[in-house]
Amino acid sequence: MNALDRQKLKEMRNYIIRRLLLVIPTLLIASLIVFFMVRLIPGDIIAQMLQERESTNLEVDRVMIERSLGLDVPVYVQYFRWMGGIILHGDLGKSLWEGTPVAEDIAAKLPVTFELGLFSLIIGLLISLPVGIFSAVRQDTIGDYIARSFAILCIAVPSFWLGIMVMVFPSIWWGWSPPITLVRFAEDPAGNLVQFVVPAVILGMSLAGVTMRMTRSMMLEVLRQDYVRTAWSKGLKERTVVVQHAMKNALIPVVTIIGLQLPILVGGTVIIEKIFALPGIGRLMLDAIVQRDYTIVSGLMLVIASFVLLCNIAVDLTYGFLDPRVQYK
Amino acid sequence: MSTDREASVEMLAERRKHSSITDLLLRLVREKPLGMVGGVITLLLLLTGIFANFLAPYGMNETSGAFLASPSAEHILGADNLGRDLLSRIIYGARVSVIVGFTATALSIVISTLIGLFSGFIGGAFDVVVQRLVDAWMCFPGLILLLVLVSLMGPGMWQIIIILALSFGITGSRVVRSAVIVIKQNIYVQAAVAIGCSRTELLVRHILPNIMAPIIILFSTRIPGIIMTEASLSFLGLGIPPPTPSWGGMLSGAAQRYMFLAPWMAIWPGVALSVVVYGVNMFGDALRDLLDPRLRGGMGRYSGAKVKSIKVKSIKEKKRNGYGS
Amino acid sequence: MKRRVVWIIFSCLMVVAMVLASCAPAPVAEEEGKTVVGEVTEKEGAAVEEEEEEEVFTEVKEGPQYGGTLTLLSGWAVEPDKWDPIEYSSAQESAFTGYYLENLLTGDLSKGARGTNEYWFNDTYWVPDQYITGQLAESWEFTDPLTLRFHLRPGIYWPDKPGVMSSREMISADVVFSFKRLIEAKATLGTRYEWMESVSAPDKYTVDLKLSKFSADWLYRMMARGTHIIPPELVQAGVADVKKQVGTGPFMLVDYVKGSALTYDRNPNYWGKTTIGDKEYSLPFIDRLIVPFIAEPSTQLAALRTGKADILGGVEWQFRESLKATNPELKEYVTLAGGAGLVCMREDIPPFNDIRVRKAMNMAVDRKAFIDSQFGGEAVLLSWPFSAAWPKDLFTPLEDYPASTQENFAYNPEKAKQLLTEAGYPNGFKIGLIYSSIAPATADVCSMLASHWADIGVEVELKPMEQGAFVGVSYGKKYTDMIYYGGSNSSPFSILRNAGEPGDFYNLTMFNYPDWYAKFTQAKGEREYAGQNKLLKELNAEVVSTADYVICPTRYVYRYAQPWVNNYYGETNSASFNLSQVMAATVWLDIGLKAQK
Repeated sequence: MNALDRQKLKEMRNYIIRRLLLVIPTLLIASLIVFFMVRLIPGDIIAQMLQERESTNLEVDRVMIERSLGLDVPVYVQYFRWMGGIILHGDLGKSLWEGTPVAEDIAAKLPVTFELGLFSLIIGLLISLPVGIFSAVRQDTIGDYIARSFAILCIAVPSFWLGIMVMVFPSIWWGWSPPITLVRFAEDPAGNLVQFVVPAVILGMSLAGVTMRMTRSMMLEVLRQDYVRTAWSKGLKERTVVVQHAMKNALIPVVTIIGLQLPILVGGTVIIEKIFALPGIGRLMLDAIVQRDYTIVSGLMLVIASFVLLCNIAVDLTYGFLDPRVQYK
Repeated sequence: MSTDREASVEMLAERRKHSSITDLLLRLVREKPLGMVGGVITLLLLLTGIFANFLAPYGMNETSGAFLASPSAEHILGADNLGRDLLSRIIYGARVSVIVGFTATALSIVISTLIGLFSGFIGGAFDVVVQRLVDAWMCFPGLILLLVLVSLMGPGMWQIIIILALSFGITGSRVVRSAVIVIKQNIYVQAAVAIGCSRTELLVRHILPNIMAPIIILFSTRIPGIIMTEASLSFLGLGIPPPTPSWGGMLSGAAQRYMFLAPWMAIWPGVALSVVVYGVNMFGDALRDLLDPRLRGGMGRYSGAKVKSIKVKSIKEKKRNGYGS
Repeated sequence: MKRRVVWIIFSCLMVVAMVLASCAPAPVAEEEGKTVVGEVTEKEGAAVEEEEEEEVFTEVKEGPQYGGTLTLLSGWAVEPDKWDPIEYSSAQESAFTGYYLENLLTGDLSKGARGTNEYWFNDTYWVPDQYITGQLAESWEFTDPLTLRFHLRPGIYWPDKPGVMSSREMISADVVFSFKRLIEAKATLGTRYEWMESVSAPDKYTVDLKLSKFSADWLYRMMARGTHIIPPELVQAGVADVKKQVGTGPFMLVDYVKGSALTYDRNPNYWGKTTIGDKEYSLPFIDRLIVPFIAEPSTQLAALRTGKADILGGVEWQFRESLKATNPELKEYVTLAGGAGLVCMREDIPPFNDIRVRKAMNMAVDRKAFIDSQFGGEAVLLSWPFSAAWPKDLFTPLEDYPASTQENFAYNPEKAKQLLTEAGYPNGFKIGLIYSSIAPATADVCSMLASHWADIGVEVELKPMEQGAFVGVSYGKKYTDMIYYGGSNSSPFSILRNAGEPGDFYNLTMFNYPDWYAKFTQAKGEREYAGQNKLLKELNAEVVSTADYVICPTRYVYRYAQPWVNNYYGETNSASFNLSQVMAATVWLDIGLKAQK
């Protein structure tokens, strides 16, 4: 490892440290946003609980519930207690409705969303990259039009509508439907993959639409560069020009897009999870919001936010691998 | 010095004259047939939305006894479970899509521009702080954040518009900001500073016109996203509240329950949604291809006014250079 | 080099994801102590068909057979939250705990379709007093006005549960322990059980419950979740822990995948028996019961069509035809829904303080068109506050009401306009209708009602609200508009309290009649069923006659069972949202028929 590499590594290390430090204020702001926004939602949880319990003495019961849930202190005290719990004990608090630790709920459901998101991303990439590159290289030909139409169709057809169609019609025509309970990978790898592949394809298609077009336009731009023209004039084969010279540089903004889609790993999948009965955190979030389970919503949002911020750092680091010109300033 | 100034103003004016709308439209028709189709669809959408009252054969919530009527002369696309004419509801749904789509997008562009422009232009500590806030906002996956916001503000057309505008606006500010930063580094901006342009003049005359292209592109690419997001929210029951017809809302609930008795209830809103999103997307794509300075000419990187003069020269020459514009 | 790095990272991510997904909460199953009839495989739900299930069957041709896995989609869209019976739970009552925990009393299914068909065990919380029988108790009596004595059934055993307890007989000490816990926990359960004062056990099979005052719905409370009988060992091991749950019931809880499904296995030493033909059989018949949580109707139906669900409840009428077309072999059961849509009109402020206006609002609704459009032409006009399925000594059918009440349910817009004019609103008036947007059907119902009212000149502005906000508004009681919500039938005392007690959470019409309330108080203290029911019947009729509500018709709901499910009579519950007795008595046909699917 020569001196240049060593220096680059040192730069990278400093960059990572700096970014991680910057994450802290962002997370703090995010935690504030999350905490207070959720509590601003009208209609409080106590009223819902009282309604469910058929209380005959609303006032007494309200005071009692508030105390047991820790909601009897002012909001900023609740905030500090919550942040204190996280920083000092790593404790995200307990669900207001169930009393189980929030971390447990999240740990139980996050892997499902993660697996679904990962499959969707991969399928999306498998579709979008080749089609986008093809579309750019064969610009304005029939192939390009078809590919672009396909890309936009992927975005235009709502994923929830497609999901319902996929759930309903195969059951009528072929007597097939996806499994209705979670098939764990450890127990049945093939069944697990089948269960996830169907919703992943649906989600992947809508992701693919966006990535396809970005790939295409980036490739188009790169293909106009002087050095590409030089490669052409050298008489190189098309494949060499495209793959070796053009693709790598075109992919940098594509990495940006992928980076923007990474949050799906932790929660862009509410509707699909609902339709395919997958116990992921999308549904957890939806239910928690409706029931005003403040601790779950806050804890979950914070986990998601941390993950996204870390992903951003990872994506930025990837730039460094792809583009030697990038400096870690 | 003053002549230089006048010269640059002239060049800008000339530029504006050349980038007239007709020029754009001609290029659209000639070079981008798909985009033209998209443009036609977008235009149809706008007209349907604006003239919904005249086009729709029935009222938007006019119930009748014809429950679940199949498509017929009286109800061209059929009727829903309350006897409301589906065609009319789709037309009014177009109006909702137009209003929500265009208003929310316009508002979001304003927000993006304001944040991006000032953040990018002023730079320094202000930029760092604002970007941290934007980061914090963007930490949250779109739909989830929207869920919380909708619960916060309650259902209603204006609430949805504001929420969508806010959400897309803040995320879009990044694009504007990076465009501003790129332009800031250009020589002519530095030249203008050297001349002694005031900040406002810089912003309005030099920077703003040059980021119009990415802004227009942002506008046209945001609209379908916003329409689709509104549909998703309505599907979850958190969008425009019924009985105002919104295509997404029409696809959830009742359509699912009556899917076997009255499939047209689920098909037509879906078709309308898909066609509209498709068309607006295609149009936006074409606009971007035409306007994106980076893709013009065979010159690669963005280079402002210089490109225009080359363009006036010859289109054939560009084509000869390899990959058409 | 760089591309390789990227690929390596990708593959690692894939592996990580799959490992994480498989490390999701480990199953709670323990296989020891479970007497399995033949081999039951581990794979859930979908994969069952392909298995070689070497079940041992008693009789192949006629009669009940043991074995098999039943996947039950009950149609209640809830998930469990708390496992401790005395802790308040927002899930429906005993929907999940009832399979393994039992009570002193339960509903007598032999009075339903299974036997004498006197009572339709439909979608409500409550079972009428005369259809209640003993479960853990064989008999009971009042030894004095405030002391209730239960005689327990001998020979009931708690099963082995490693880490919690070893098998032993259930005795009165367990009942005393459970009830003591309940009495001391008054704080968490509010006022529901405040009438229980103390409990003692004179001997091994007798329990004396002392009441502080007589509460007329004590029978219903004895079947509910709070009075589940649990062993002290469970509380010691951790009663809130799902992995430690144990009970005397027909099933045992073996697995819980949050958000996905619950799995129960057969309790091999269950005390329950049933007689079919002239033979006595030990319950339950099925080996395994799976209860998935699926919210989306399309998904539920797909599961039914493809045979993944064996029983599906809560199916709406819109799907009947299509199901008949694609799966004609399914068995269909009809049940009356529990509850009705209600438009609440505040009678303490104008314009609804005048009964003529309320009557007008009722008469303006074209109920026939409503039923045709919303319910496919089949519904019951009046089933609230009391359910039309309840016995005739409680429920008054519409035709038995005086003409002045009956006319409220007939479609008469002219008379409605006339009444409005008499009351001082010749040109109608404007008012809002608040409803919760959580159920998509609500918007349709409210739209339809609004269009009917528009015909008599009443302009109704629809005001949907998000569920949480809606609850807050109803709780605050500051609204001036009408409110629409889906009322349920719960139990006679509860529903009358909701409708008529001033200050009650659900009293959205500000119903406040001192005479009525005095009668209600009297009814609560009535010890004899006959006297009680007579008063309750009158109270119910009076609520209907005030026309405080526009009571929407009540629809029918359908249940379906696969052809290989036997001895199932479509009951919705045998106690408060408790399907355990129904499931225990439900039987498979031979696996061959199921495997063909």
